[in-house]
Parts: sequence; C-alpha cells; structure tokens
Amino acid sequence: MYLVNKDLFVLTYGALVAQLCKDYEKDEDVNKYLDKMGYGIGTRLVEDFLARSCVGRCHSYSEITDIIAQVAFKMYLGITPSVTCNNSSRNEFSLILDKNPLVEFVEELPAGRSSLCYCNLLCGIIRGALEMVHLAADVTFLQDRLKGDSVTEIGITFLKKPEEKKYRRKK
Amino acid sequence: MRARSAGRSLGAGGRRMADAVLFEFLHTEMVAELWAHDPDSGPGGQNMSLSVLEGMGFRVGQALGERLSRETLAYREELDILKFLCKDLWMAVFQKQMDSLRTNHQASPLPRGPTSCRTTVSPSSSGWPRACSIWRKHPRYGGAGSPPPFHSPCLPSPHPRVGPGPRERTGRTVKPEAQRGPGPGCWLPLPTVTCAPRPQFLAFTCGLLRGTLCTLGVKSLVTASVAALPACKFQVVIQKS
Repeated sequence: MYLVNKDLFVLTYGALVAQLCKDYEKDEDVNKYLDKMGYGIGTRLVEDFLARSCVGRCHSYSEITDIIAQVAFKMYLGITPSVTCNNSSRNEFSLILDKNPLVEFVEELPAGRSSLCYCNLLCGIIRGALEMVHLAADVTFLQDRLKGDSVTEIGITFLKKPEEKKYRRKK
Repeated sequence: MRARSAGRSLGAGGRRMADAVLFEFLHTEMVAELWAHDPDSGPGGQNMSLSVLEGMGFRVGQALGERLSRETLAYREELDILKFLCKDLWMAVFQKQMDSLRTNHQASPLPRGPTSCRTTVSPSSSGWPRACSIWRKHPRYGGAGSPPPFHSPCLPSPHPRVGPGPRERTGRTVKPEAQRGPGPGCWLPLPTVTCAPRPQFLAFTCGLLRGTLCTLGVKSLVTASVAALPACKFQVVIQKS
C-alpha cells in the first residue's frame, strides 16, 4: 500500500479550496481565508518544526529564510525552494518553487478564478510560524505557475520591529 | 551549517510523521473554519456544516480510492473490501490497523447483530482519530433510502493538548471547542452515550470511508460514535440497490 499521507494532505487541500470557492464569490475572500487558515496552522506547526529540526538561534533574516527553504519545506513538503535576496537592506527574499506538491492534481485554475492564489495557505503558514518566533513578515505570492507565470515565487518581507517604529515616531 | 544537517537527519519514518502532522493541522483548521460557530445557527446550520465536512471527506476518499492498485479494485466481496479498509487503508492513513471488524451475516434471515470491535486509539492533540472500528449493519435495520445529511453522533470533547501551546503563551484565546455544550440534532446509533457531542471532528473521516467504499463499488452510509475516548466506532451500513 503506497504511502497516502502526502496525497491525503494534497487532496484534502484541494477539497478545501473547492469548498471555499463555493462559499465565497470573490477570489480575494478565498485568498484571505486560505491565508487565515494557514496562519492558524503556522502558529502550531512551528512548534512541531522546532522539535523535529532542533535548529539553533538564527542571526540574520537570510539565515532564517534559508532554514525555511532548506529545512522546513524539505521536511513537510519534500521540496527545497531556492532563495534569492531582493534588496540591499537584506530583509526581502524570494522562495522560488520549481516543484509544488500542492498543485500535483491541479491542471489549471477554475474558470472565472484568475486571481485565486491556490497555495495561499503556504503564505499564511510562513507568516504564522514567523510571528510565533517574534518575527513580523509580509508573505505573498509574487508569481504563480497556475496563473501563467514561468515560476512560482513566494516573497517574504521581514518587517521592522515595533520598537524601531516607535523610536522613529518620537523623532 | 547546523540547520542543514538537522534537516537531512530526518529519515523516511520521520518524514511520514511530518506528513501526518501537516494533515492533522489542516483538518483542525478546516473544522474550525467550516463548523458553524454561531450558536443561533441552530440544528440546520450545524448539520449543514457537518454535511459539508462529510462531503469533502467523500471527495477525498473517492480520489484516494482511484489511486489504489488494480488488485485492490478487483475485490468482489464486501467483506474483503471492509477488511481492506480495516487493515491496509487504515494503516496507510492512520499508521494503525483496526483491531477487528464485526459484521452481521447478511445471508441469514435473522441478523445476529453486530459484534463489538474496539481498538485502542493513541490520543491525538488535534482530535483526529488514530484508529477506529467498523460495524456493519443490515440495511433492513437501519439507514434505508438515500443517505440523509450527516447525522451527528455524540462525541466527547477532543483530546486536550498536553502542555501550553503557542496560543496560550501569547495570551490569545484558545479555540473554544472544548468548552462547547451539547449540540442539537444528535442521533445516537449506540445506546447510553452520555457525552457532549463533537461530531465535527469525525465527519471528514466518515466521508473518507464512504468515498473510498464508493470507488470500490460499495454504496454505504457511514456514521461514527465515541462511547469512551480513545476508542471510536464507525458504523458502515451497506446500501443495497
């Protein structure tokens, strides 16, 4: 009997997206709920990840992004996205996904759903996990093969810490 | 780099566990999102939510069933199919076989009644059942006609998480599934079940079983009940056309 665990997750995710598409007319609403559910998963998944991986303390955003790509994605989805840094301040990164198991059974987006971010759950998971280790970040899909782009790209922008923002306001 | 070596040390068994964890978390969020939170929604709203969850499980079960080997699809006897569910499918999905399967004997004019089939379930923090048993009931004695919307059996609260989770540490409110009172519209397939109903956590599994059975050519109605954690019973009523 082949291992069904990964298929079970991928198929269940597909059924979830289909159900949300039935419940919500606007793509933005479906994307929002996928992100919200992903956030809930990420806040719990990070504990499981830290227990399994035993990663040490990180000292830069670059190191954190490398761990997300090379350890976390590998552990849970069996893929290793490549990482690029998008700006000189080194707080904006991209994960380039050559393979994406979540879309294994998806050929194309449903008709009339051109703005749907099918894998938006991943963005929420990353955002929720980072927040649990006290890192605020914006995580969005920058490119998506399902929308006709050449690659699937997830952008992570680490936000400034609140103490730094308050300091600037006082000035 | 220390982080890279930590990732590489995860073997096949660990990878399988990671897949299972991902699915468990997804299931928990699905139930939280799709289950009718509003207490004013009434029995209609909650039954609709259960039907939605059961329907999703059905579609997933159908898709899983289609990916089975041809040897499995060649099963002719219903009992062989149920044995396959109890042993192979359950092992693959939940990493545990069911302990036993009880069935009435359809050929005899007077069914002897279902024999009990209990399995011990290892507790799951997300409430996802680790193993369960199947009862097979003659269609004359229950479940006639087309399958009704999912009947909510009585279930106790999901197994509590051991130790504080990240939500408790940040001071956020833990999702109040454990504090909900009994829901309306409760159907008790087994006598004397005195626990608060939590049917939403087993609806997907019931649909999964029904969907897999459907792919294997068996039309059925699957319901679940929990008399005492961690044991769980699934009742499969074969629908005869």
